[in-house]
Amino acid sequence: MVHLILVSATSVIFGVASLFLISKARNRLSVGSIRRYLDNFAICLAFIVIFSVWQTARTIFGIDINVEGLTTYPEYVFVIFAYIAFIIASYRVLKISEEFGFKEDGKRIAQIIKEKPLKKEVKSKS
Amino acid sequence: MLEVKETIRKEVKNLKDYLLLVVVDAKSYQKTSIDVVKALVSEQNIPGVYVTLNKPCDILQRNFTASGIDIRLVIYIDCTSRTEGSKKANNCLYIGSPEKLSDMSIAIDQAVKALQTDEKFVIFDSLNTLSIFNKPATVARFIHFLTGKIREWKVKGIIITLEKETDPALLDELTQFSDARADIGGV
Repeated sequence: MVHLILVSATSVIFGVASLFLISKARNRLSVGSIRRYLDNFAICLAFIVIFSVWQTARTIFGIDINVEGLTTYPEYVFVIFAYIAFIIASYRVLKISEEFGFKEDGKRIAQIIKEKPLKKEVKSKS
Repeated sequence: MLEVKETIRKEVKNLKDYLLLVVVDAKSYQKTSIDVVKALVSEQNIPGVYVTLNKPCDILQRNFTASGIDIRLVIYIDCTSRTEGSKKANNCLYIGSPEKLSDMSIAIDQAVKALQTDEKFVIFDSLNTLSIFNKPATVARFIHFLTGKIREWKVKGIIITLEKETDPALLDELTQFSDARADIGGV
């Protein structure tokens, strides 16, 4: 029982600390794609933290909060929400990679450079 | 007053990487921005990144094409065209607003790192426009970040600004950081 409380409390502390770090990072960023991604990520984390807090409270105080139709583990609803938020956050990362990824452009430019002779070389040949 | 091409030739041509501050008057601005790209792309065959806060990407590409510059060798980061969110088309990333400094920084970083050549450039056009949309302290921090990154990336960094529109303290500080300063036109 003590071990369970220790693990649960540690998870909550880590979760809250992560939320604090995200909030600090968010405040430093200007409005845009990256900040929006952080918002999504914070929502995912918030759901997981709520789940952990709920579970910890249940372990420590032995409280059973019964929601109609979800009598056994109502806190798992938050895990489901967290996964939905994770999907949205992952989709946003995909969009960010499409926008900010220049790998293909870099390859194409390198190819053009290889094929293109220097102006000076052209002049000296002629 | 030296022309920008002459400054590049005289002061920094032999350096693999440098930071050049181009201080220009309004009349010479258009010609100078084209001359800088021409000196790097057309004469030295160096690819790079052009961050524009003044002209939309398509206008810039049209002007470069008219001046005989191969526009395919440049990745454009357009911070002036108002778009909903960021979007990408024809070698150009539209950031959507000059206020989105975090997006701008990440875009520049990714674009520079994507270029696989030994030599590459970053042109920031322009510092005074950045000051219109952002607080002086934010501009100062961003410019410090950018100059630091230019050194870290080991690229040819060129920052263009209009002297009359730029905070003298920031300009002095930037001059101190730079390897050379080119005063173009009636400056």
